[in-house]
Amino acid sequence: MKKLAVVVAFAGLLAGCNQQAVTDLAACKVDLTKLQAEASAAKVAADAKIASLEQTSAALQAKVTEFENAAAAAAAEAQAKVDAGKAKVAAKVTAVKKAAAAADAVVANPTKATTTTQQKARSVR
Amino acid sequence: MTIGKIFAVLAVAALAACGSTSDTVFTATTGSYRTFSAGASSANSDGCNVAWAFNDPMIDPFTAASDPGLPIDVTITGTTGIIDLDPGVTAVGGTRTIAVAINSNAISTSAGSNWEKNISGTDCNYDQTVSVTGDITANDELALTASYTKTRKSGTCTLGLLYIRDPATSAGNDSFTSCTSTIHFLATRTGPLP
Repeated sequence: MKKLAVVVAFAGLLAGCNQQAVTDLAACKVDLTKLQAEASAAKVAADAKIASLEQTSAALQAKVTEFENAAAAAAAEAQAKVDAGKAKVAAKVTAVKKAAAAADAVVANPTKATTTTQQKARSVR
Repeated sequence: MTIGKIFAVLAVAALAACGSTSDTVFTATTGSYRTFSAGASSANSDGCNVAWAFNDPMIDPFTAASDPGLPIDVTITGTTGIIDLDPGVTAVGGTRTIAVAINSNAISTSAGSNWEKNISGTDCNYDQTVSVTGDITANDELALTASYTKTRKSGTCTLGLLYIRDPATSAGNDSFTSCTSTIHFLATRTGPLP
């Protein structure tokens, strides 16, 4: 009889324990679902952030390239201006030297100056 | 003799006199001729700006400097002749002189000049053809019309070298490729050929 009482009591305990375990499991499942949803939302947000950062990075890279090109063009233009200026000065110097030489020649030989018109006339006839 | 017969004789004499002056044939002889009174034959007909170079004195159209004119050489043999508008200039290729036929007082070209010219001291080469027509207006005096065609062949032929002007604006033409001129001038003999 005593043994029976012990068995019944033990069975009762087991039944109680089982009930508690089922309840805990349900609560765990709820928590798990919740965490899964949160994790999924976090992943979506992280992916969006990454995409946004990648876009920003590409835009910045394009901007950097644009600035680099502009700087190169400006440098080339500046160099061309410097070269043109140098050429202009050189041409001016040559022209002045030529004019000076021509003037010297006229002073040294006045008849040469009078033949210039004839030479031109021969070239157009 | 009746009055009527006298009038008839006078009328015939007058008609004969009319015809006599137009039969005068002048003679041009070989020699060096001075050219003058040159100009374009019509408005804007001197596209190559050539006429000034046939005046005496020549007035440089760009600098207004003046210089004695250049002579031309004329060689006459009966009813044919040779006119050299550029005596002394070296022809790179072709024929520099113009062959003419003389019929009474009329001068016409039988073979025009067609030659390549180089502007001395430059790389400018251009082809040039010239023909002339005109009249012998008195002994050793010519009234000629010259027709020029110039075409750049190679090198840089710019304003300062050819003195070509735009006929429409009279502005200098730096990008010369071709031009034409029709000009007239007078020529009178100054002496034998040099």
